[in-house]
Amino acid sequence: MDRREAEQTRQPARQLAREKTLYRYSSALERGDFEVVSSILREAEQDPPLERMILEMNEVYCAELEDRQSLATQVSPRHRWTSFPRLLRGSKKEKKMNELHSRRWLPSGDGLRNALIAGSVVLGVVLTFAIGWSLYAPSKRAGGETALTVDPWGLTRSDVGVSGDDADESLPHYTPAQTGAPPPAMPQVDEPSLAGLPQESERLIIRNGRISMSVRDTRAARVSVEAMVAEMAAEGAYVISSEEYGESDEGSPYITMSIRVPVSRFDEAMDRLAGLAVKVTARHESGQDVTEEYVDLEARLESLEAARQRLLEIMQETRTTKDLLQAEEQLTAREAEIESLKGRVQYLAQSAKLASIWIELQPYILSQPVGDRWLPAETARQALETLVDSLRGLGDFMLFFAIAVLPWMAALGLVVYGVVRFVLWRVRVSREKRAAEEQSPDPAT
Amino acid sequence: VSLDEESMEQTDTSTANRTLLRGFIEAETETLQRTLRYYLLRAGLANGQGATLAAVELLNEVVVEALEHADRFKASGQPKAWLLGIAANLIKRKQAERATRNRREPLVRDLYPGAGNTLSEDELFDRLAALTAPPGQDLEANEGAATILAHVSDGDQRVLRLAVLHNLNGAALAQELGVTPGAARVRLHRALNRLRHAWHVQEGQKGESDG
Repeated sequence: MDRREAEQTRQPARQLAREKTLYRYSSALERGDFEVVSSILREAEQDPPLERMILEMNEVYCAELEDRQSLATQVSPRHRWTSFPRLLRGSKKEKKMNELHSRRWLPSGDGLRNALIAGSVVLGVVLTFAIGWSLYAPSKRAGGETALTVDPWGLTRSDVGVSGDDADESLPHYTPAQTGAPPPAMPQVDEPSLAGLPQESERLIIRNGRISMSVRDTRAARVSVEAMVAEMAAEGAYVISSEEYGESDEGSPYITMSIRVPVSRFDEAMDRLAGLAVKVTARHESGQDVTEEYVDLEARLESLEAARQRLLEIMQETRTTKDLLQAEEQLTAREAEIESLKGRVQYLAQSAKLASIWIELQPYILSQPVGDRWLPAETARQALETLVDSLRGLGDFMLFFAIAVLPWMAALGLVVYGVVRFVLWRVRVSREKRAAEEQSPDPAT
Repeated sequence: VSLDEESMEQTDTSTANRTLLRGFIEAETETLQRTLRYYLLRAGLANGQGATLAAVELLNEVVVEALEHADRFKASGQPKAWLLGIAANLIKRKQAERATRNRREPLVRDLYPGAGNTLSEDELFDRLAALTAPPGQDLEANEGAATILAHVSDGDQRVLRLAVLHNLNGAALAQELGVTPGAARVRLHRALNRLRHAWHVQEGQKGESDG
């Protein structure tokens, strides 16, 4: 409750403070004091009601200004444009006024103004003509038909600190009309020696190597590899990663490493690594020519930089805010692309500068110690494990047989049993028949 | 890692602000241009038809500055006030450049003769605010108010009296006068300025007679 009351009391006070700030704003604006205007706008940034009040006032001021200007465009006769001849002779009304004031020996205010403007114009024309003549006349005097030398930078002799006859001595210049001789030969400039330039553009090749090898002691070999990298560290070499696994009490672990070495020392590094091995199990070297990509990227970068520059120029020249915003958007996109390309270019340059080598160090088997311990419990455990495994296998087989094979065998057995019984029955029947025939008397006898 | 995250966050904010500001400027170009035109005229940096062109140029400068420093814009802030603030700073810079060219620093009192010798806006405002009577009390009976208001014309007196009655609240004054709040405030501020001027003149005369 107290809080609400306090808030209610604070509201009018805050509003009054805003009204006061607003008054300071309008006064500052009227006298063109943008220090105060700027500070009040900063305040309004965090105070929406104050901002709204300022914007409302701005609207009123702008509307007033537009009204005033639309009134001003309805030009009064007093301010109408006066043509130059009219200015010289004066308007009819002015003539009439002059007649009325003919006894006055001083011209009226407007007449004086017109006379001053007209006088200035006439004086300007005369001066221009005089300057033009003064520039033209000496050249004609000096050389008769001498062509006028054109000075595109607008520098006259006096501008460069040489004048008169001295100028002729200190500045030898060629005038065809004077000598009729051919122009002096241009000073001989040595052609740039082609020998100094690379005959072929430098190739940019990213080199990679992979080496797998057996060593007597993998840890010692890793130390050697690290020492080699440290030796090349001044040229930028470094170890990227190192991993150790399969460690046991009996022998060395397996180690894999990844290193970067200067490309100029790649072959040397590979040879030195191979030198650590008892046996090199695999060695692979490859090179990727990225010159084309690099050149292409550089060209794109150059083109993007040019586009960026052009956009900046457009932004300076643009007359509408919409165009400016569009140009700025384009510029942002170009800049992002430039950054991305620069990153790729840098990566390629860096990769081409440093070759990467992946190393696998395996412990050499013959160098591993021979086991001489007898462990009967371990053997019994292994035997029991084998027995359990075999029993489990037998059980699995029986189960599988009973489910998957036995039904088929039973069905097949029934069929076979039926066939056999049928065959036996036929045999018995035929035997009995034959016996009966043998026992009966022959009617012929 | 935290630095990377911080810079990524900053980039995200900057991008979001740029998008926000770009949209705002596109929508408000015309209003901004009009206001800047008025600012330039008030600052004495342009006149006549040239003011429109100068306003476009100034707006373009504002846009460039705003988008370049978009990360400084607080999302909770008011974009128009921020942009106008940039414009005011640019105008200030141009005024200073012009003054340097003319080898003379402009002083506020040079730009507005008499500003240094008379009551400041704050003082006058506070003096009037002190007159705002509590409800029920007759303002006319307040001698201080009568003395102060006697310095200006009847029209200004009416505006000032109404303003004082309504605690110098522009919105309430607008209702009484039947105009927009902006127009009411313009009238009030002009009346206040004329009062300040009249006060200054009277003080000057008093000083002369004492001297």
